[in-house]
Amino acid sequence: MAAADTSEAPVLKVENLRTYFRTRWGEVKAVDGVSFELRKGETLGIVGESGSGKSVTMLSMMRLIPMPPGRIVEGSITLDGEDLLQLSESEMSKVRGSKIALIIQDPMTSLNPVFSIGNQVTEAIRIHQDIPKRSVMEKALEVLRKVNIPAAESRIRDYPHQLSGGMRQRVVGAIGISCQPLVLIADEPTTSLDVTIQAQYLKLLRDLQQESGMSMIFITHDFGIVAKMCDRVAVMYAGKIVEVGSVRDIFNKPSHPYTEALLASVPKMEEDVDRLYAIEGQPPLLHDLPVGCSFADRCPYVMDRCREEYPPEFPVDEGHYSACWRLA
Amino acid sequence: MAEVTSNLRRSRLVVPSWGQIGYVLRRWPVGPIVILVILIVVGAFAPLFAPYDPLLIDLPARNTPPFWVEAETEPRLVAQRVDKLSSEDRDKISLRDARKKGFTEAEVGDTIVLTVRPVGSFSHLFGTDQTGRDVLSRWIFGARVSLMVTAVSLTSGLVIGVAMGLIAGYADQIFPKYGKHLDELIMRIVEITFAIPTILVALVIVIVFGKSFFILLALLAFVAWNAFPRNVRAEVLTLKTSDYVALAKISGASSFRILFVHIFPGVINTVLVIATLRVGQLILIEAILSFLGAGVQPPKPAWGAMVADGREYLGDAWWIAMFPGMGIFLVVVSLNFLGDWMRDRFDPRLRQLD
Amino acid sequence: MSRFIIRRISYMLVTMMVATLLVFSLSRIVGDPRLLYVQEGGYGLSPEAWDALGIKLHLDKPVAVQYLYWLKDAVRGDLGDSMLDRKPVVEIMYDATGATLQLAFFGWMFATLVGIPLGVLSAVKRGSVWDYMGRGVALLGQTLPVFWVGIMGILVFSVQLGWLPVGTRPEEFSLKHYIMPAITLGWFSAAGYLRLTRSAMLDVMDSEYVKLARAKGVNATMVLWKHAFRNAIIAPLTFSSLVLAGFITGAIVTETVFSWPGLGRLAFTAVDDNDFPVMVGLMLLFTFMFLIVNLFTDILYAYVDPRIRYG
Repeated sequence: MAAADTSEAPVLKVENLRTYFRTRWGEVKAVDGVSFELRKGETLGIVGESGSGKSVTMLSMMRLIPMPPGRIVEGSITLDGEDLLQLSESEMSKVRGSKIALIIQDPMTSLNPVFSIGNQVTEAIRIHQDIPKRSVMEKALEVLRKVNIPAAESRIRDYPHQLSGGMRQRVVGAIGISCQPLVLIADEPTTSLDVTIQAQYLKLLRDLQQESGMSMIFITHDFGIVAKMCDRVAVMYAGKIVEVGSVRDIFNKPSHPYTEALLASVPKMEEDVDRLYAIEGQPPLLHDLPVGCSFADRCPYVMDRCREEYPPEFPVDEGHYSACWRLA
Repeated sequence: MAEVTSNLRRSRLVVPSWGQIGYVLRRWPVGPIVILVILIVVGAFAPLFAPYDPLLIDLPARNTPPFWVEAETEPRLVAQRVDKLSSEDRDKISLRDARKKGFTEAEVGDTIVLTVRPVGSFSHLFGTDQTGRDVLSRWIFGARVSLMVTAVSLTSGLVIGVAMGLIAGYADQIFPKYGKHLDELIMRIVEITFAIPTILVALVIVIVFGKSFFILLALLAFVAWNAFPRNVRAEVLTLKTSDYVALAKISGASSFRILFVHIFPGVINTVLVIATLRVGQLILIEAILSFLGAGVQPPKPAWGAMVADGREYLGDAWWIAMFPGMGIFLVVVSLNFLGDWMRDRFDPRLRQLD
Repeated sequence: MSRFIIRRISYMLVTMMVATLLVFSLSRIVGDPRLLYVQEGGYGLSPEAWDALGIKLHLDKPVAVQYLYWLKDAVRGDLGDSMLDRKPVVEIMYDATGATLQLAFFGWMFATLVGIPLGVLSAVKRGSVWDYMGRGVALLGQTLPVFWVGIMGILVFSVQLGWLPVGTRPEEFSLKHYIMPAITLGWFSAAGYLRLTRSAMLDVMDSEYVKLARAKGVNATMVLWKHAFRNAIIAPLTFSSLVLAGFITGAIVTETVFSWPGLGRLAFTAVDDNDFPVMVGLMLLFTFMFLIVNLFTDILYAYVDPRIRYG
């Protein structure tokens, strides 16, 4: 989907990305024609149910898809001018961690249990930056302090199991920003944290972003986080982006039935309802996608045309697009 | 109309297509099952299948090879004098031939002794051993012995092990006060037995108590036993919390009744898988014990003992050791495959079990 | 860390005591222990010898005291004499230990050098020829009985092909003589190492921290060895103590097959000749060796996995 008019080129541009997986039930089209842009300093949120393709999109961007069952069939991922899909593996590993970094979901398991925190933080620095050894340790301490790890000098020798969940997630964050990436991808970074710690962590990420000017992609299913953190939102369903726009546009004027349904399922404190709204039906099987709009079977506004042909994106407002035949 | 009637009269024989056969072959472990069934049947009805009495000694026919082996000369131990030329005379051998047979230092006039291999025939399919006993018959009876020993030990071990697992898992219900300690005690015992080197202990027991068949059975039952308690207990712990158990308790059923009527059926799957996997190990241990002379006693045929016998004759009569060894291998491999299949089918959680 | 070691050592000593108790009670279970010292179907002892033996074993004293006397002698290195040779048990065992240790060493080398790399390869290159080979080896290792491997080995490599000598430890060191016995001994454990390493590697390679390491930009080889392998090796390491326990069993059979003059064959001949004192000595020795290996493995394990150290 196209972005609003921009004065400068976007930092990241994904065009028509398709990632398929060969399984014994058929070819699973996990990501089926996804395009979006990310500008400098901007935070994009990607929302959707499990299975919508958001994690696979993220993994494809980092080229971390396991290649035997999966493959990137088509598309381009342009980061800072170069197409990541054209790079060799060794070139790509230079990009990973330095220009584009990742914070993954589960702090319990994302840190290697047999190495110290210091070892793991300095590893990224050592690989990507050509600075003398003494400075590596200083940089590591600096970045640990930035994520508010208390007593960083003594903590740096600790092992992951000696830290609390919240602190571990902050260390993962530290690893992510250690090389000043252009884009930081956060894949549901707060799902396994306590609610109070969540708020702290999100604030931390926002501060870091403001300080460094990096762009962020936030992958989540939680609209509350989207509201707090993101400038723009892309809604994904069954491997495709169905609606994209600014946070305000999406919340105030959802133009795709799926987006509407998602927003309606979030219970609001002010309302007094007897039953919580849940979207009827099930998402389609990704190896057996229907012709036409994938949401058709669950859509309250479904028309005949929806089952015949997949809708293109229609502009709703400036920078706000939705793939629904109602807008035709 | 006429065509319809002639259709009906066509033969009803359904020939499975290749696709269907392939499907069955892939889903079910046909190979192992067939092998095991054959062995069990043959072993169980050994007297029917064995062509000879396994204990029948027939010295003139000793060390006959299996039926497919051809030999060069007649089955005798011959002393031959080295002669310059080859001769019709049975007692003479040419110098060249002697040298060819490996006697590189031989000279004319020397006497050399050749062990000449007898020829195989269909009267002894697997050949004969060093005292002339038919190897095939001994093999069949050996299968029977292994079968019996394994079946008995496995069953007794199973009963004890499963009972222990059931009790350990449910102990806190049966004995509200000491239950937890009983559970721990049982598990400790199981852990300790895991660390014991079986063969060594078996040998010591044999020395102390003598080489009796009963001792062998007891030993094997002991080996069979300790695989069960841990996993059975885990199952019980899970099943303990299910609704139908709660219902039974509310209805006033006694703990024992709950255990054996309600919980036990849920445990059967796991038990079956473990049992199948264990049988292979039992057979191996029995074979090793027989090999070392601590198992089934001669002259009763047992595969392990036959291999031990055959060891001295490897150069001349390799078949004495080969066939029983193959037998052990076949059985254990089939059991392994069968066990793996059962585990995948009935209880994939056991995949950590080695 | 040192507290950890001290704890393990004291645990080992306690177990050793229990073992001596068990061994001792075995000899007293059958009633008069002198019966064990008489060879089966052998000549028996003269009445004077019988009585002398009774005094030597302190049979007039209560059982607990007998145990203490026996223990005292054992600790001082006196485990009696072999019934067969009339040589002190300790001496016989000492002569045999070197042979067994050497064999065990080579067997272990084989097991680890074949099992672990094949396990890694089999996991990393899933579905390839290495994978099938690895799984084949694992299967064969588990199902072929130890003695059969040895015997078939002798049959094929010594008798038919004449490549390798037929076992039996030579006076001077000759590597060729070690090949078949070591392979026979280590075969079963190689399969075990292979399976363990393979499943550990598979688990680890799927883990989140490996994913993060890749996301950091660590190149593939380093991810494999520094991150994945270092974690995967923990399981096979613990397995080593089981391996060596298995070697005790295996050595008995292997040494018998190859006529290797070690502790295993000693055990075999002891059973054959009903030589009880030797058996007792062997049991104690084996238990001790097993415990020492366990101790080592535990310490090594703690070093490799910091969670145990500081947990």
